[in-house]
Amino acid sequence: MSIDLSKFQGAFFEESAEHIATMEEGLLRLEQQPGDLDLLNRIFRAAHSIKGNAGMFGFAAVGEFTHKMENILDALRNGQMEADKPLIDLLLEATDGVKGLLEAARTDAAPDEATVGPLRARLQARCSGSAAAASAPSVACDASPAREAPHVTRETSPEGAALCVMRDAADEPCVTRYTIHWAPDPAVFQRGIDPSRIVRELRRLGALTAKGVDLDHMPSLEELDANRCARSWTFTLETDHPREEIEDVFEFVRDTSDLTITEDRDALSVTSEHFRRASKNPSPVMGGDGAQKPLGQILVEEGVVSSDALAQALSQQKRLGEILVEQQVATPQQITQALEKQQKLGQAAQAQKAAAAATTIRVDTDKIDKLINLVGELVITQSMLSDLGTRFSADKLPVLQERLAELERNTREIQERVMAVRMMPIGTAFNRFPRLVRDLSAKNGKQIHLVLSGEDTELDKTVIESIGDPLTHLVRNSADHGLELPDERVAAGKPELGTITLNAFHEGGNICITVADDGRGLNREKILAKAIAQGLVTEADKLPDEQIWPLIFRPGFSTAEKVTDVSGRGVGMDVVKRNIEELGGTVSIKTEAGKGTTFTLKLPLTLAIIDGLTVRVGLETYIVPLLSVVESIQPQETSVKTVVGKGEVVNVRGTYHTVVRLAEAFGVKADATDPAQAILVILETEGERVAVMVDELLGQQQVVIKSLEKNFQKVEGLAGATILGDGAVGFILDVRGLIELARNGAAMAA
Amino acid sequence: MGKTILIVDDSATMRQMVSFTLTGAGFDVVEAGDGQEAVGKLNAGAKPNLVITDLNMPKMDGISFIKAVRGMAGFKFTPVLMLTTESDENKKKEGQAAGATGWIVKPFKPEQMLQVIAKVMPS
Repeated sequence: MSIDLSKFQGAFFEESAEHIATMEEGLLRLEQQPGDLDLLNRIFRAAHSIKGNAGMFGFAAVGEFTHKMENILDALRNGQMEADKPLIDLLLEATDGVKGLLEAARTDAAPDEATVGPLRARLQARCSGSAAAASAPSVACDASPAREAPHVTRETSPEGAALCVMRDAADEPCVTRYTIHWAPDPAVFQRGIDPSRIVRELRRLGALTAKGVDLDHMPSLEELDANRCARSWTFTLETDHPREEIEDVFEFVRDTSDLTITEDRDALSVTSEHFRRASKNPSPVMGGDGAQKPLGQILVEEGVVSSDALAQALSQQKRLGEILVEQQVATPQQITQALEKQQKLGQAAQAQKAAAAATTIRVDTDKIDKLINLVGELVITQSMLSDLGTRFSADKLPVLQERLAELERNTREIQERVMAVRMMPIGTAFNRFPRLVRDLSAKNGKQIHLVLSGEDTELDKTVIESIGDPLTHLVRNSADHGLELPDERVAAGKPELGTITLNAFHEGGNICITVADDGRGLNREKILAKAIAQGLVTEADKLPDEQIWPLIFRPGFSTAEKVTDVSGRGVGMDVVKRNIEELGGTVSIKTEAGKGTTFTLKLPLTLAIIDGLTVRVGLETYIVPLLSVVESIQPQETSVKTVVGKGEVVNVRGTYHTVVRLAEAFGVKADATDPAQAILVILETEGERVAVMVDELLGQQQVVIKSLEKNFQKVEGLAGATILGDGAVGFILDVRGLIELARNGAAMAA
Repeated sequence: MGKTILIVDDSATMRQMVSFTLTGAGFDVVEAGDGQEAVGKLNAGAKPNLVITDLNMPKMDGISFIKAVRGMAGFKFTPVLMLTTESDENKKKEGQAAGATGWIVKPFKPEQMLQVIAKVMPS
């Protein structure tokens, strides 16, 4: 039975991602401070860890590639190479290569040889190049993992091999007598090595007898040091185990001892019951890899065929499908269908793997300990309550209330702690930007300084994973459109070096992330012209600035004069906005011509719980996400009007909002049919507002979101459901959906 | 039984795997993330019967750690195994000079590690 370590793969991939981030960040800093040995050591350790661990899981491609990187890093550490820009570029690309290989390993896909192959060659070339230049044999560069595993490939003496063939044929143990002389390093005790253990190991291999005493090297009593090993031994060992196993016994002392093992050629055919038994249980040999090799590989390795010949032979091999079609057992269509099915199954399996592997999370034991403490308290409170319940009388009401308050506190704390388990510092999402900005500034000739702050701000892991792409787009956008070229900046009286600042901070129950640049700012005229050209607005609209900026979030909207590699492909800002809104967040823009632009993302800390405003319509309770509530009003009779093409609208301080009657939208009966008797809750999302008509505001509470789609089906205007305090189901309103609903309703009415 | 092994490695994955293998084989395991932490645990009273250490670690590397262990009363003869990679031929020599009992070459199979441990674990 072998021990299965595959369940640690998740941990490996997670840890490797951290190492990759360390390497990337380290390399970027290395560019600023080339000789920094601490930094080099850190990068080296990261590469080394990936290599070592990858080997444990049999990800040979990752190990071998990282090994090449490690060689260069080692040469850098030893001062054999210099960390110039091309080399750092190469190492950064190689870091991407490792990332790709890891991803391939994770999803069980074939590595992208088109990318990795040339990189591997460049790493190799860089390495050998430097070795030649230094005209000294560079150990680091020449080292190849396969060659230096001494216990994996071992030479057997020709005689020994021949003898063992004989043994196999006759099923007769073939016993060899060896004479072993061993004089350990006197310091052997200091290494915690007990020579008697080694002697006992030898005895395990066969019949061991000690010969002669080495009197010449015996110290006198005065010279005798108990901490030093003064002895040496000569043994004869009769064994049917191969010579390598004897050498293995001495593995840890071989380098430092005086050791000779000689074969005694005369005594070959000793047969005894003992040996026969021993040969039935051959002890496993270290380092052997049980994995089965393909025949072709073995033939090539043995030198029977060349790898070219093998490739040619393999190319002549017919595929199963072709053979079946030729034999007319199956039609080509059937084969194609089966192949498609196979491919689909493969893809599905891969997708499943990709999804499954991404679900681990590393949690500080500290956080878990606190949680366990809290659960302990909860159990105590519960037992006190049940005790109270069995002997309850009216006079004990204050005690009950006290206990209930305690229970509430416990529950709230546990909820917070459990949330904290999912919390990660946002720095993990920021990590990618130094590299991105470096690449971007190289690509578009701008000088960009990136400032990161608030990296320790924590938020839900899912949110962190989902904001990576939108953030990347915003940073690209700032680098590409926001910041000017150096001469343009100088002309505008600004420093050549443009700055992009990423900042994260908590604000209420939300997290705010800002992406700010000190570039040219959004161009009001250009945006307006484009919007008019696309028919989004008319010239007569006379929009205020705040309504012009959000236009860039419309699908297909890009004011970039030319489409660049970086952004300006006309996709992007609308996707950014959509992604953020899917997370229950908002995006806002602040910009000033010539001074720069700031995008602010406001996100909930977690996706599972929202702060809600509970409202009543007739007998139903609905929850409105608090984030989108602007205000609640009791309208006057005169302020609600019906406008053709827009339906019912309400005038709030001069601005008109469409009114959605929740009762009508969801087909329930409301107390009030007259808006003047009801309450209008003004909700906002993406800069659009809507007035929702309800009977009563009940209060504010946190609710756990339960998916409607998962448990029932998607319902227009509802984002989900939750269980209310009294056990009833309350629906959570989807503000975006309500606005759509209002728009469609108005269109139908018109 | 009841033998304790101290595993020192900066890679949490490696620690987890070694720990899992050793606990499965009936050993008690103490973990440390680098040499410094390990020395701290030994000073705080941890009494491992055997030590397994990685070499490349932040703060205090494996070689310095082995030297430190050999300098501590009570651990003069404790077997210390180092985890090396195939290309660390020089490290192997350095480790022996520092007082390492033996080594386990990465990548290894869990069974191989247990065999090496059986070889040097004091009875």
